Amino acid sequence: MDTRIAAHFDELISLVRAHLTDAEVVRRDMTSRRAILEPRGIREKYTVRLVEIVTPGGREYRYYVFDGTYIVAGFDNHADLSAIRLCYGAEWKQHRYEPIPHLHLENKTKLELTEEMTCQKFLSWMELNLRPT
Amino acid sequence: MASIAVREIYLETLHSLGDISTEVEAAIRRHTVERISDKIASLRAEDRRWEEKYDCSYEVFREKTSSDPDFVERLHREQPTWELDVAHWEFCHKGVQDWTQELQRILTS
Repeated sequence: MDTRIAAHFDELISLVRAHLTDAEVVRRDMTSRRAILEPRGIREKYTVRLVEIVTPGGREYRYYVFDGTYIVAGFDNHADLSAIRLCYGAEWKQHRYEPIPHLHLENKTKLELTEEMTCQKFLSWMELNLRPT
Repeated sequence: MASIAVREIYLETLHSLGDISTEVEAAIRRHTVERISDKIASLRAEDRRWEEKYDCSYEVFREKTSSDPDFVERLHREQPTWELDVAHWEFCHKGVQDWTQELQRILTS
């Protein structure tokens, strides 16, 4: 993996440290073909877990906000069949391995399709949507 | 090829054991093989922990999550963090393959 990925991960960690308290990197690892980063932190009463995997095929992300074990919001682009069916309806089988940006809400009882997210966009979304209670 | 600094104490000792270049090359090769083997063992152990949690292999899990909508709906209810888990599972499962290829490349070079 090249130095651009290391620089991207360093940038992500800086963003997380700037927006969250008690920020820590729980995983940073790489092989010759993939790299993973998981920083975590706290915002108000919420725990925030972020995972990014970079491979030659692209970038996978998970940006999740928890209130205890309750999932307040979970942005990810995993090839989730629920999201694929929401997007493609009866044609879902032809798209079953496609990464698809989506958002889980209300402890995963609600699902929305989204635009591709970045860590920066997610942190901005949090600023707007997770007001102190 | 690249140049690296080696402390005198090692150079003196290695010199008395044989040809320095050969000795250094062998030491680096041995160390690299050992480090990769440790990495593979650690990723394999994690792969097994995910297999135990989800009661199947990575390949079976991937097949079920990409073909069975009911299974996915159940996962969302019963293991709501499964998409976070699968990111780590995929990394360690495929990481074993990546490092094994790297090891073979070194051992056959």
